[in-house]
Amino acid sequence: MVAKKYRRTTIELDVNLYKRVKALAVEKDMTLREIISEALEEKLAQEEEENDAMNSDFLRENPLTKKIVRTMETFISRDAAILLFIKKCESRNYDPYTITREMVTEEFLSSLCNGIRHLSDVDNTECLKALKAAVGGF
Amino acid sequence: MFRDSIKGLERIFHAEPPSGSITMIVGKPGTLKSSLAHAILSSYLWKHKGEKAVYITIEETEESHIRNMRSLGIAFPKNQYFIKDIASFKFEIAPENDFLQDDKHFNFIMQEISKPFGLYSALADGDFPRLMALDSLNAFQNLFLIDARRLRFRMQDFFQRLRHKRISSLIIVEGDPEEMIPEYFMVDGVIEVGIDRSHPQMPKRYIVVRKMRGTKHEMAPYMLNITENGLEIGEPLIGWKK
Repeated sequence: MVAKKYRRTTIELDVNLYKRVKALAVEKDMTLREIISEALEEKLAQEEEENDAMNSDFLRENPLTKKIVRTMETFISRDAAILLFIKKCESRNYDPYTITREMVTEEFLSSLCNGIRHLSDVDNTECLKALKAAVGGF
Repeated sequence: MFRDSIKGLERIFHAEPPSGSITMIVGKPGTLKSSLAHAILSSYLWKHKGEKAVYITIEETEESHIRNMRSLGIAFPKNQYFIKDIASFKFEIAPENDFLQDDKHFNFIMQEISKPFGLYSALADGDFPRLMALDSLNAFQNLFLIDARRLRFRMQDFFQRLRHKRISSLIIVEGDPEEMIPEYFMVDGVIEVGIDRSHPQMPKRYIVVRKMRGTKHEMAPYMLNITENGLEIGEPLIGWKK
């Protein structure tokens, strides 16, 4: 099992909110860090869902597409990731709604990285590694 | 960013413009606008290891920029300077059409300008760049298919967003500095670069600060010289008339 990495940060909370969170942590036998992390994870997931709904249906309907685009978003902006993904699908006659794991070859992922490198300083090897991991490897 | 960058610029700027200032570099073709922006950013970064800058190129490719800068002796500090090559990205996704002119497709450029560096990148940590250059405003505006009035609103919004993020920006503008454009009034500073041809046998490159809000600066033009170490500011230009 890979150990999680943490980054120390300082946040200021409203005193009453702090007391309520602390009470909840005691009640649930969790640390403050776990409670806050869980809440942030939920918030991010909710935002992503809303963004997906606003942007492209295929992100909601095809989990594979969503995984790939989400990983691309760690390197480039959301709109750029979606544009690039759609265009690379189009050039191969793939439908982003129905694209399957078998269609996602290393060459396809490399073509995404070739587009990503123009807007991000990530190198191709790292980019490909991240995208491969997102689709479950080869 | 100015005083602690290329040699001699501290003689023109008596103080540093406030962080988040937007400065245009205006000039006709071949007057070293892009080179000046690269030189200011890279030389500043060499002296400030914790800082990062992004250079956004919309029409000229990264490869072309790097080749040109190398020929001028301008080197980019690794892991601090990144060129976002919108020109190549556009070609990658749509070599034969102009669909980016649709407003909804255009937003990605704004997102790219303000996105922190990638989580996996050498620059890491999700740091926002505090310095930015956009090359060029003309190319940027050409992406819009809207009338002049709406374009002006768009530009105000664009500059406002940059200020809000406190990104000190250099915006390159291709054109005759004498021809007023509305954007001159929206930004904090205007630097003109040009070639003085008063003596046809000895044309001289110059730089002059036309405007810089909140900053004491020289009004006179200075020579802009290409040296072995990149660009440097020379002596005041004598006999220059405008």
